[in-house]
Amino acid sequence: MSETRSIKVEALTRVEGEGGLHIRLNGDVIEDVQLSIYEPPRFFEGFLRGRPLEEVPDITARICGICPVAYQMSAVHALEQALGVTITPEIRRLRRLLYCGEWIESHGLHMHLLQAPDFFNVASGIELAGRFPKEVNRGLKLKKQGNELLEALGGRAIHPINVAVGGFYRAPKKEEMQKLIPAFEWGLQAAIDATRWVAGFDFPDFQRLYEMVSLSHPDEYAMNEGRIVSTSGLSIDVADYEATFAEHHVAHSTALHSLKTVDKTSYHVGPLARVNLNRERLCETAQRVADEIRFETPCMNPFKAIIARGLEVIHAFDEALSILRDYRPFKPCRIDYEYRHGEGCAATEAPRGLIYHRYKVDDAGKVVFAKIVPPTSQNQRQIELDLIDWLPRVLGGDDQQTADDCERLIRSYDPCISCSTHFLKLTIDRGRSEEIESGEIRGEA
Amino acid sequence: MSNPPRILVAGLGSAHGDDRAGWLVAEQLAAVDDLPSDVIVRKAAVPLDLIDWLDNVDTLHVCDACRAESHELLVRQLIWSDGRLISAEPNDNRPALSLASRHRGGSHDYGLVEVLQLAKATGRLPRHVVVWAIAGSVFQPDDTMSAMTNLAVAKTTELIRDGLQTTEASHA
Repeated sequence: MSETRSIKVEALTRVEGEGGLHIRLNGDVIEDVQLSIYEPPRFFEGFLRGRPLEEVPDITARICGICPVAYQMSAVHALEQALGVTITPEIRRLRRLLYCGEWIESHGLHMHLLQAPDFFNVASGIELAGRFPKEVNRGLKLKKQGNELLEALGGRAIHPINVAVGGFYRAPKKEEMQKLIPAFEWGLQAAIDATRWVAGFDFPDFQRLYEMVSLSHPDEYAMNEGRIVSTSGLSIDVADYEATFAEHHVAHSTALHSLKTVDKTSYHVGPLARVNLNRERLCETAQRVADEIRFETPCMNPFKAIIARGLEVIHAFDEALSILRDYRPFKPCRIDYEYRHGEGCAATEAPRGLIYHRYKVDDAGKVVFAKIVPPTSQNQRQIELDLIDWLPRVLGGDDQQTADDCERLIRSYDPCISCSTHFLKLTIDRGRSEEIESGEIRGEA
Repeated sequence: MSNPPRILVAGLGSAHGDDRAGWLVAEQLAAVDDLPSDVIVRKAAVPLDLIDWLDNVDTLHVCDACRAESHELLVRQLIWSDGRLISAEPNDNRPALSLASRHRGGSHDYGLVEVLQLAKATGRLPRHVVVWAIAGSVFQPDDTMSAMTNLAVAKTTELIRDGLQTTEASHA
């Protein structure tokens, strides 16, 4: 008779936010896998309603201390579409520079302190630093370069305050940008070295059949704009996002699950998707390193996302250097606009993957509707499906070892649980049960 | 030629109740006119920020709120020794205090002890590390700072300022 057993990871470690993992087995048959997100709902979409649209970049930045720029960029682009604002090329370049800073600090942290320990059977970045002090120090310095760029351009490293609808509140001085250049020249080489280091890790032979989804732009490595494309040939305008992907509630998660609307299947967003779909638009240096380390694309091994992150850090340093070297202060740094009733949406590429925002504003400049779909909620179902495929390979050991191996896979996605917990399905009991559909009341973010 | 070693005073905290103590000490010290020129004062929301600021730092002072059952102690001085924080006072048998920097909730965030361990492992730990544990009792959003923690902040600022000025005088 088969024995039923459960493996529980009560609290995932080295991920942002609070979540657990529940696996139910009947003998060796996997009956259920649930990525359980129990962090309370954050209600940001509800907070935004009725607020002046100028507050949106600063409020949405508070959703995440690791990727505030992703929220700010998505918000301002969506709101500018609603207002009919066209930004200048100078503002556009400066926004890309800001995003480079976020990719550098977020990827640098994840590569060295969060995911790399998994390849050396150590429990933390501290233990890893004991074995690889030079490499961990390099990672910490890379993160510092990203933070310093955010501070110089955004006003502070965490939750920048210089991003405005229409541009920036203040264009930095030339010397503020130029003094970053020597450190960024070091950073570019350090990013190359870091990518070579992680490419030499011993990766599990684990290939999946993903539909990978990211932005793609014909002229640049997509960060702030582009079409939404996939490895199965999807190519849509951002305006068609909600017709193509939809969020669903599952009982075990305060974060919604995103699935494709046409067939209710999962998809994968993040650095691996971006590199797979846009490799030829990485900078020359990143492409050369990708060739040198024989990084084959499309790569469908989630553990190798750490290599994709490395390539993106190289790209971010390369592009940041180019912008920093050419930078001249400019006016206007913010485009004026008049309030009008309107609606706009935008998608950008957060460090963890595609992020989508949509807003409606009224003619008094107030937000009347907000919808935010972060990358982690889009990856959640995919992570569960990955685990179902991964579990038979790691069930041989004791339960603790199995749990540890599952955590490794989850961490390869760099999930940001705090960002994704935005589910609220309100049930009002007035003698009859009445559910209010999401979109009507969404105390979410 | 390398720059002379520096002293970093970092206030750890948040805007919530007594957890603001570390920031307040940093703000008050930054406003002192005659602070020695090699002293840098910064505010941090999470301990991991400290890692970015340790280059060429010889002495690190960290001011952070701690949970205390009573305010009897006001402020307690701890030093980093052999991989842990111990009381700066010999034969101190008082119960350990729990440092209460308000984390954002994820294990992306390292606590202060972990950050000091990371600094040690990467060879970046300053020679001297002093942690000023400031007693507090209210840490919820929208709490206002308690009167006793306000007193503790003033006391901590005074102790650090006097110590820094004494150090400078002895170097003069």
